Amino acid sequence: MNGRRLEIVYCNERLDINEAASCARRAEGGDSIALLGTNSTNSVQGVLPYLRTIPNVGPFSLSPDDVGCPTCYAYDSLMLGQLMSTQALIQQSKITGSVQIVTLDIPAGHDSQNRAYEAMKSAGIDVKPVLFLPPTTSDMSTYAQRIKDSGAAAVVPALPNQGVFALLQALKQIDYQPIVLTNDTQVLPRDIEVLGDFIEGAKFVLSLPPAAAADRYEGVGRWVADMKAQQDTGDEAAATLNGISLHAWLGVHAIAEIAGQVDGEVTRDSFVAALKAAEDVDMQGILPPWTPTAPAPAGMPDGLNMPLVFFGTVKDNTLVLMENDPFNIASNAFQPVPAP
Amino acid sequence: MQRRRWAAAIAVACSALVVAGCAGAESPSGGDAIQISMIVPTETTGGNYPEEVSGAQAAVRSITRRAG
Repeated sequence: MNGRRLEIVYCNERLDINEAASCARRAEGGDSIALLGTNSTNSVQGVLPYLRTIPNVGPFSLSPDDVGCPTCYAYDSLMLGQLMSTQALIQQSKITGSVQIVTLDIPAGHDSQNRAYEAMKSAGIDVKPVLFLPPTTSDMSTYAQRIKDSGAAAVVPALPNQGVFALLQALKQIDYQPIVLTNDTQVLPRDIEVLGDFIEGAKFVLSLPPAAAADRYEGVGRWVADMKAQQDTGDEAAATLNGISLHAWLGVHAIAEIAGQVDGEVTRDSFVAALKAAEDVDMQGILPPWTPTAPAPAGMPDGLNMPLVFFGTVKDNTLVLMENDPFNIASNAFQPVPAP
Repeated sequence: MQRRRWAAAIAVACSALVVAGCAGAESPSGGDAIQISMIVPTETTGGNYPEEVSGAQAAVRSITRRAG
């Protein structure tokens, strides 16, 4: 990049609000041109107040505040989009019967899942009151039994990955198989392999396409190849092909393209100027070209200018697309991605 | 209790890490590179998503390779 190499500098917040604040202060006070994909559970409380000059590109958003902050530039819909479109997934999947949401008894769980509950209710879906689990829950058998007793036809396990896996295993043990409504950060490819037939037919709402969509999206194929090359360096985590690794891969490409438009030295200031001036940034044919400062469509939270999600399902032990095109949450319709 | 166990495990793991950043501290950087920061909940019990950094690093490798 202008004769300089690109480098990732990351900080581990360990789900600790003080560590998150420390990471944010370091990022703000350091030399980085951008903060990519703020995947901090404490993002609103712990990170955003400290970001003043560093642009927050592709923040992991659970709430409108996470995506609409003054320094936020979201290029995909992430968790917020997933939360906003679960009811559309239920309708697309033609699920009849009641739906049970399960989440952690923490402020973020109440906030996000109560919103999902209200959205489902407004859409006329038979949704049961949210089942809140203590964050320290390790034995899921009690909650699996409560879901079975409720007779729910579908379950939305809005829990961290390990919690979802434990809950599904507990449901499997009591031989109760509701339709699972989830995403690819809660149920990972390795979980699909282990859960086998139990997860077959599960419905996924995704902010980006799955690895199996490489035949439809050429950019997905490049991401898969790059992750394989990264794995070959000894990075075992690169074996996980999900929306989180694709989000980061896509974000680096977008930042690199924008930085490449800087005339002169690439600094934080010059990058921010280029970011604000950028139009139609190449999203590798995975999403439509992105204009960072474009307003969000009517009805969408400020900052959510790419309100697209993909619907997926598990078929023959593989996460595949239900529809090739993404679903536009704002227009409530599928929208083809133009070829690059 | 579980939190303390993980903190202990992370402390041990961090002593062996060179490339991966540890809690509250950024990963090492060098020279005149253009830096992109990330804040991640890596190596934690509730949000173990190390593939986020892997995805970013995979993109950097790819871009660097294409730049020759």
